[in-house]
Amino acid sequence: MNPTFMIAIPLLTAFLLFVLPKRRWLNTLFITLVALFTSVYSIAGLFNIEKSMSFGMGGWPTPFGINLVVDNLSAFFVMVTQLSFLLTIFALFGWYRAERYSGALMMTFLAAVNGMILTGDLFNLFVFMEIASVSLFALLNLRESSGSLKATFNYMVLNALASSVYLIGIALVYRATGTLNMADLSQKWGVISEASATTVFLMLLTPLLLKAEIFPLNLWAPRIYGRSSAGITTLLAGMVAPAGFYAMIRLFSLLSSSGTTQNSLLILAVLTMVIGEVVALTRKSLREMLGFSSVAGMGVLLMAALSNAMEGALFHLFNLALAKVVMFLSVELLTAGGRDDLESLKGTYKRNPAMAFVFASGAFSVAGLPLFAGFRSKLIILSDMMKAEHYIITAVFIFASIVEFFYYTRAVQHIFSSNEEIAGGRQCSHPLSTLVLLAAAIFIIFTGIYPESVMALAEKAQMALTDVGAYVASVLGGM
Amino acid sequence: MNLYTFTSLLLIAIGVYGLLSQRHLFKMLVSLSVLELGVNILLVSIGYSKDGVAPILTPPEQIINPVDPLPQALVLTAIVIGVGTTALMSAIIVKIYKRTGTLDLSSNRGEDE
Amino acid sequence: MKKLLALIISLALFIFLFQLVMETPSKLLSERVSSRYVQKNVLSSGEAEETSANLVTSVVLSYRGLDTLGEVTVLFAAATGVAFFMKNVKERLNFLFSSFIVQTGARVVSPLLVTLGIYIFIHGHLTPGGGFQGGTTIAITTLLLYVAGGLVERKRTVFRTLEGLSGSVYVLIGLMGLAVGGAFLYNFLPLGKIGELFSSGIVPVIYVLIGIKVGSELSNLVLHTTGGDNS
Repeated sequence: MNPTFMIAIPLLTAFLLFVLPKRRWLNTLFITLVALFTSVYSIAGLFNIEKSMSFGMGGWPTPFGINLVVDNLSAFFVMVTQLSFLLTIFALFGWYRAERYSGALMMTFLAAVNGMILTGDLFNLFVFMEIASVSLFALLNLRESSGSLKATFNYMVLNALASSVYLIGIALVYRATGTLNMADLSQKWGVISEASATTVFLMLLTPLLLKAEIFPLNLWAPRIYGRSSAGITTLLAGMVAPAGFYAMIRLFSLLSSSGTTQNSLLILAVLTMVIGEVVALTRKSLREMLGFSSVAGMGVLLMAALSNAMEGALFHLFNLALAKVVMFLSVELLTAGGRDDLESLKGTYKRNPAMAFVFASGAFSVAGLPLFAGFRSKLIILSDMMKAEHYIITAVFIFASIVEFFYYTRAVQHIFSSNEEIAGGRQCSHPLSTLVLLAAAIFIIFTGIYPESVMALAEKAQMALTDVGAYVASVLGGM
Repeated sequence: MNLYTFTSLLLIAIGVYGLLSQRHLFKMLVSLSVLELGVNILLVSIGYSKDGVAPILTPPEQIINPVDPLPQALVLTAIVIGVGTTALMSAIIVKIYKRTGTLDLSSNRGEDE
Repeated sequence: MKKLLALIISLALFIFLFQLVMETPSKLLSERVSSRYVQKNVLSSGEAEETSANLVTSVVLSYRGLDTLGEVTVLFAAATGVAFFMKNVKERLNFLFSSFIVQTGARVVSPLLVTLGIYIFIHGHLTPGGGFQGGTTIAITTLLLYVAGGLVERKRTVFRTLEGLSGSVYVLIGLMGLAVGGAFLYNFLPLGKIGELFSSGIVPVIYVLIGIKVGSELSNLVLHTTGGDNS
């Protein structure tokens, strides 16, 4: 797989939308084709990777030029994000017809998320992060209200702050080591003294923690998830958060960090999980509940990644991303952007039984019900953490899972309870989006019963992550 | 530590002070711009060398003791990105004002709930 | 009270950053990756492999070309976002005070300004400046004409098409590099001699594209922040 196309094709489409005649169906067609192309290309590429490969842009050798890296890990994450994007595009067919502006923003956003995952350069990562957030700021207001505007403003300020911290970190890294390439940096990291290395490392991590919704940098998340349309916040939960998580674990494996840093981040991860789950329990609005649950899910991932359960974490990330995306999208289609508190959801299954089923499968997968995909990955995380003797954290994790199970069952129960008044009502899902979401829901159940294929991918990704030597050799040696 | 680095850190601190103490949307935007300016100057100051000359070749002779061109390139990128965010933020502020009639972040006027 | 707290926090931050900068070692310029940029000897081939006289341009467009494509995209996304936000805003911001003198002055000055902008981005690989600076100069003309009474009001579609066209050509040139030289944004045109106008291959071409793109993008930003359109 040549990673260039994953970035260049969406970008080209974004620019072309302004040259082509102004037709909504044409824009939608182009976006859908690009989403299909990147998905198929990334999945096809994922099965053809022998070892880590580095592609120098402009023909310059690293560390002098910018390079893109494809190995089993980055390809795995690219695949997850492409699937999220494809599902979102198909599910939004019902109400979202791409006019030029939002269509072009969708495309730049896709290119940026791919770039965030594939790049091997610290400053280039910053550029792609900025493209992703700038594109999202407008998209988050597709269904505009004063609430969503204010939430977006809040998010923008925090984002700009985190980016500034990251830039200061880059300045210090370049001053001390004279390089910006991640692989080259991992060789020269020792130059920085112990004390300032920790600080600089945390500075580089700041915007990634913000993107991956880890406490205390996730304070923007509840408002955004609560006020913006669920059809767009899928992009946050299914693409931005995984991309941030990827960059984070990549930096973790490349730059050695002290035990204290790891432990404090582990505590933050556990806090994220517990706070997220408990607050989700108290929420009446379904969108907000999902938002907090998404935050908690990222906490689970980081916790597992930091306590020797990386393989389970990667498998869980796949399940989580898929389940979140189908849940957010089915909520969007069920409520049509209207009221979404639990009471008003009673009996909505009659309005759209297929979407209710899709929501239930996603919810049960995240909650970890046997037969569903999330159960498998949670089991692996649990057993790996027990093996690594993290007993206290394991206990907290089990507690959080119980809470999660409880509120998801409650939501599903509300949707499926009978209520005479609401029967009928408006239907707003396109048949194609119903079909695609149903396929995704069935895939969740399929993965729950036969987890081997996805497990194998996660295993290979985990091996690529731990084999730092191969990564560095491919970037610095393979010209 | 040269004068440029010192100034840039001062500007960063001023920007953070503005962000923490102001609740007016445009004042927050201005504070963010000051903060970004500080960060940009910090980046440029990384490439500073004493008695350095601008990194532009005048053939045929070789250039002696140029300043580091890489931070300048980075700053060019950072400035443009900053312009983009600032423009988008001002657009969003205009929209917030149109909807709620206030520029105070802490006020709840016009919340549609 | 709140202001005092903010003051204390920002002071603490200043001291913290100060110490951090003092603690991190500074590497000599000759040991950084950029020293090879200055010698134009990244490939260790012995001869100049990149022939922009302006070393910053060679970093921006050659060695770190992908960053610049990203940078242009940020601006594009921001301009699109502003247009997206303002598209339903009906009332427009009007400058009532544009007098006869302002209008005539704008007409006289604007061609000169555009020429200056074009000059800046065409010589981006030789002298200080480049596509971003030149593009901004052109956008200032738009602002001037707008202040002088909406002389550019109807040009939005033109700007938008220019913006999309130059961006597409930029990406296509990159893809041509991939086809010819095996790497995205590979410099496949003849390099020429340092210091000449027609030198350093695709660099001036891309800077002209960026100049057009940034100019039209910022012009559109100006036109959209002052009010929406109904397209």
